[in-house]
Amino acid sequence: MRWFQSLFLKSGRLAISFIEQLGEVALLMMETFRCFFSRPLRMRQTIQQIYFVGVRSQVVVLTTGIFTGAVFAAQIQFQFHRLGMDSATGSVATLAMCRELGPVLSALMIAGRVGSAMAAELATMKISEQIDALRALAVYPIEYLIVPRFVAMMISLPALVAMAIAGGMAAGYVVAVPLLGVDGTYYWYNILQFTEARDMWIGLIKAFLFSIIIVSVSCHKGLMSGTGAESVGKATTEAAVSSSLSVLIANFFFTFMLNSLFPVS
Amino acid sequence: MKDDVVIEFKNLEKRLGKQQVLRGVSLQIHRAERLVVIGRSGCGKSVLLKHLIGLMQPDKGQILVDGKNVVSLNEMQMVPIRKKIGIVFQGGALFDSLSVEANVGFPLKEEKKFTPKEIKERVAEVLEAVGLPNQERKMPSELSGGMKKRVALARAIARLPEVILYDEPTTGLDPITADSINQLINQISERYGVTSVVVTHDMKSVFAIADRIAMLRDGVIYKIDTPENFQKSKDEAIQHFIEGVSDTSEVMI
Repeated sequence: MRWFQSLFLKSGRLAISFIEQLGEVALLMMETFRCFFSRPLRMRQTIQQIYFVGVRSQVVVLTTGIFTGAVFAAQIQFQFHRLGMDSATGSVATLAMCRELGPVLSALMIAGRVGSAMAAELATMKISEQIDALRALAVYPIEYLIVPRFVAMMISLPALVAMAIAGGMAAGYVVAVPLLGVDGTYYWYNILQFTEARDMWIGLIKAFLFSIIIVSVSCHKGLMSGTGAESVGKATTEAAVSSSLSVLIANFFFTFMLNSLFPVS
Repeated sequence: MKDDVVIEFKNLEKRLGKQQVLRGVSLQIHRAERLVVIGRSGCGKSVLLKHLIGLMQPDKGQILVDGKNVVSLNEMQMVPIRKKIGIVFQGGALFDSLSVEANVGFPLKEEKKFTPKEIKERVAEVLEAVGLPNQERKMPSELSGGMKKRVALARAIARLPEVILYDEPTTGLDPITADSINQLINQISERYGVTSVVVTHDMKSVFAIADRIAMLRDGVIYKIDTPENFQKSKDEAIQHFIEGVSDTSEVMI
């Protein structure tokens, strides 16, 4: 009975802590959007962040897109070949890249590369009193530090996802047509036949929503970190893990939500 | 004398976790004076400073800056108060991604009233005042501890505040550098006529800087008086603190 009580207590504490953190992230998002709409955007900081989040992540995201598209096209061709449906490889691989693989895998890479770096930077600024110094100099840290990161992430991730999808499609073509001998004309014909603009829209909308999740969770972890050097490492790890998990869980709900907004005709 | 009070703490109370750090601090700070707050490590000296600039909120009590209660003001309402007060953090708290010039010019740039040329000139002037001429291009990582504190001091005085708060300005510095920082605090106080509130437990600094000393003990102001009267005091707790004598019951082997 005692172990059951202890288990019950621990799960209760965990649930309360989860709800508290969810509330803190929501408050941070609200405050950030309030600042975004009520104060002029700091262009210099925003461009710096776009460079860091977007430009510097191109290689990572493009590599992810290319190899995912290539492997996925190969696997589909192996299976479809047995049914004599090789030419459908392109449409299936493209749909998967646009709707799921492109946005989700790019978001996971960005959560690992950028989310953790943001959390580490903010946590370091916190322990070295730089955030306090900003406030003491009459500068609101949300406006100076968080808004530019939000804007940069919301612009960069959809652009990176578009790149990943394009890279994946191109790699899928290269693997399926020249390497595995699928007819190129039918490959493209089926892509055009079964893929529509809404598939791309779904991928881009997901990317936009994932960008908000990653930047909110990562900034929250950085700002709420403890005061020791150990807490910087903890914030960094938690930012990558929590934002990745949030992306995967949210993707399930976004899939159904976007499918009802853009139903398959 | 009443009109001369620039900052006043009234029955300030603050609990951090399980520890009641401040138990009703009441203190008046006069315009253009150099008040040094002393007390043992962890007694709440830095907490007191952070309350003054709105980085912490008290559980109870009032903080009056120029007669205006600043407790519970939001970030926007604190802006004019923070513009009156400069702070030098213990570790300097320089922005490590910005050069010395950008750090010192930061508050001026934020004012949005000065041209880049005016900012450049003012930065050069205050860096000269803290004894660091021609160091504008250096990054904080290239500076020694003493230089970082000087740059932090230059940043604090850049927009000519009415009050400057110093959080342990000489901690971690060698005696000669510490003495130069003490002299700098006095020079800035005299040159710009600012009110200085210095938190420290370095007794050499205390007697080099203070017009008045406030001793924080057990969460309250235990004694506030001139340095001369502190030295003459027969109070055991004060004498132990000045002489750095520990209580034998605290020594554990």
